[in-house]
Amino acid sequence: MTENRIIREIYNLYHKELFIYIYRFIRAQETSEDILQDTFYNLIKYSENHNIDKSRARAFLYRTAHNLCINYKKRQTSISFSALDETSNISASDNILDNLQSRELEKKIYELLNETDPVSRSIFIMKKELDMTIDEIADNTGKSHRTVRRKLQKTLTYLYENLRKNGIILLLIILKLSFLDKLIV
Amino acid sequence: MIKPCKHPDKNKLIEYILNSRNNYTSYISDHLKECEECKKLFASLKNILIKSENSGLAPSNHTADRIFNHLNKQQNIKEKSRINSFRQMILKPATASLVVLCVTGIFFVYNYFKILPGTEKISLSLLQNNGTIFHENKIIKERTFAVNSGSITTNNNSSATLSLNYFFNIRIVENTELFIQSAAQSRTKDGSVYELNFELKTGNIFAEWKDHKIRKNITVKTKHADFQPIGTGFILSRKNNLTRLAVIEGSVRISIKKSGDTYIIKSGEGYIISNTSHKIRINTENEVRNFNTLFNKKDSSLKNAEKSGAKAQQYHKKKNNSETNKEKNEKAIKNKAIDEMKNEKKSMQRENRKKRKEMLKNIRSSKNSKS
Repeated sequence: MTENRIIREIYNLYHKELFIYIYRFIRAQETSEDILQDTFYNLIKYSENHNIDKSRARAFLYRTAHNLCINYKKRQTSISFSALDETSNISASDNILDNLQSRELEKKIYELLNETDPVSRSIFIMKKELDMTIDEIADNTGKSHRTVRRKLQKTLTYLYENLRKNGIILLLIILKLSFLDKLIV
Repeated sequence: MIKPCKHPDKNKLIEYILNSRNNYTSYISDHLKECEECKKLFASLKNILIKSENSGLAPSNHTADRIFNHLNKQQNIKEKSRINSFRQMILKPATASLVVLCVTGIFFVYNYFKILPGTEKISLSLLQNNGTIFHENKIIKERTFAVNSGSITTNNNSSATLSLNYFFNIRIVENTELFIQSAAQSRTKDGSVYELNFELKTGNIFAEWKDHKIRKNITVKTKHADFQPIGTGFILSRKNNLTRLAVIEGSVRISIKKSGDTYIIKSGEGYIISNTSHKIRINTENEVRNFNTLFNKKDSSLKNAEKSGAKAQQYHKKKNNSETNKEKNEKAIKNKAIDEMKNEKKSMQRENRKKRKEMLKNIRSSKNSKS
């Protein structure tokens, strides 16, 4: 049985990144909070019969959150609040034009991402939003290192191709070309 | 070597973005410095992976409150269930052990103090030794028979043993009638006592009490006196108007009915009661030997027969043959006698006829002379 204190510590450690992950998956604030809550309820229930350490807890939380998100998505195929919620949480930028463009780009990316399979979506969000390494993603999703790499490659190619088709890729280049030299290893 | 002018594959570029090191890594980085086209592709791919603006993204405080409240609630429930289970764990075995303790306590107290006094009938087992034994004038067919009361009678050449568990035996020899008046075990505060009352009507018995620690109250009555053994073995005989006691071990108390006197007869002593009563000296070994011969007595012809089957058959054949011969002889004798009788009758008849003829002749001759 896991102590109360450990669960609080786990919450303090992972609740933010987990919420970002859920939010990027669901794209709705309240629903993301509910799913985060359910995820931790599951952890509490699991902890009644098992001992949980912090390293194992992270993977458990991500997998639970992933499953809950998929279940939610299945239930909510017809109704989407994404458009409303998406705008509400992004902080204002100094450059309004840049902000608008980047928001437009984000929206498009996540619209396209919605069409991919849930595992690819999870992996992509973990990479993009939480900046996890391949090893961390593999650990949290329970997939192999190779699968994670392949899924990421596939998703990235898919997004690139679709964004190019919609003419958004040019916007990307204009936006980030100035920082290009820094990005090249 | 790969030529630097050649554009790298898009997948290789993605792998480069995903920070995987391979043979192409240095080539791609060199190529990106020179090739504008690849630089744009790289920039666009890299931008797709650039982190979104997440600084404002965080769950509300209510979420944390709800989670922690739930956690506390679960903790309380767990505590309660733990206390309950602890109570159950303690209470159930405690109650069970208390019940067991009570039962064993009552059992021990009952056995130790014998709270409930009373008498209980007991059965004596009658073991047939030889011949035919009767109980209440009915032949006992079983080898062992349980009796509580009634008379036990032995025939010629028959003997039996009446016993109570392993500690009390009465050996009964032939032509004896022993009446069991009562056989009971009475519980008192001091312990249990076996109470056995017999009446020897006729014959011989040898009573033995093997375990002297067990308390008993045995009385064997006869017409003349009551005999109460005091941790002992004794032989008692009764024939017509005579009662004879031989004490083999321990001592026996005699209460003579006629005079009301009481004597204690020790081992090696005996007592004879008839019209006059007096103490005698006995030889215990001889007494026991004589009793044993009586007890093991069998029909001598049957004894021989038991020695071997063939002998028995021969014996029976001989017996049968002798019986047939005897019968024949008897018949012959009878026939002879009958013949002799017939001959005697015929000779008598002849003589009578002769006498009659002579008489008639005499009468005729006298008549003639007269005329």
